[in-house]
Amino acid sequence: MKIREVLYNVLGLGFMLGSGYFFYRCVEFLAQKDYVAGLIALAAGFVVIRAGTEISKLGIYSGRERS
Amino acid sequence: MVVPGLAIWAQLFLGAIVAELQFADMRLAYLAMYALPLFVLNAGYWSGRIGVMQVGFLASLLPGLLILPEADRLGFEDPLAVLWLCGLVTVYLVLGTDRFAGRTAEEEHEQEGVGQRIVGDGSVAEDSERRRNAVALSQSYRRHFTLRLAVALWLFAVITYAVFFDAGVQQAVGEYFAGGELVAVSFLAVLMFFVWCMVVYMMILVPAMNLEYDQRRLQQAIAAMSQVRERRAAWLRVLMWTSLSGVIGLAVFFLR
Repeated sequence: MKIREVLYNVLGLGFMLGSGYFFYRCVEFLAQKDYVAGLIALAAGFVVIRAGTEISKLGIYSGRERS
Repeated sequence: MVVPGLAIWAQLFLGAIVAELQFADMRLAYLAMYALPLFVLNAGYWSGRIGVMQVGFLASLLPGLLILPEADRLGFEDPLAVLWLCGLVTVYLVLGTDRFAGRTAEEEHEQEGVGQRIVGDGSVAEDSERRRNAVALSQSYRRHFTLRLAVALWLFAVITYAVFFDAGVQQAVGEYFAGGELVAVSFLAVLMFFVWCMVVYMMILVPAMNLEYDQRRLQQAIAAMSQVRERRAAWLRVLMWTSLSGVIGLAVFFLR
């Protein structure tokens, strides 16, 4: 496995796991009746997941390029 | 795949079916509903139809769940038991997908192989390369899909912790929703469960329902990314999503 492929996979996984932070913050904001901030945090969570998915696709591409 | 299926069934219905058998006037209709998933699992396994295994089996659990006695439903109030059940369902779906993805790659190879063998000896090497590519693609897709499932499970754990166990959230709920804490927590739980369902739908269910289509689409995307222009576009897309994530993340951070 190439370093670039590992990097993409780790980065993609990190982004997707990191999206949990935004969902957690979303719950916190909603509990404080801060609905706008909650919605923004929710959108951030979805965007971060999408970014992670795109990066992990690049990881797959790197692996395919090798083979 | 059968073992996680049996474990799911046992966790849901084993207690209920044992209790039902101990009654003097046992209800056959109830027993049939509890045992229905076992028949579906058996039929799916021997027929080799992935639809029966992935959709039929999970759907066959629903009638039994609807008639489950109150005493057996108490187990669902324990978050760890629910988490364990989610883990089992995830493992069940992953193994099912794994089996299906591997079989699809082999079937494609066999279909292509018929034409290859007629051409002559020179095409044997090409045939072998095609097989390698099909297996490599299948493995890539498997990794990609498993990663999504793991993330969905992780998000479920985070959301469950935030809504039900986090001391900060509980304090905020007590402060901002004084007198209506239970309603507020229920609202949060329903909302966040809906959000989690959306994540699962986007990341897992859509690819699972269109598995072959998604696999081909991934293959096409990989082929397209080999072109320099497409590769540049992919980089731009990643840059755009990463920047957008960063901007929104900073905005959330400063909104605290």
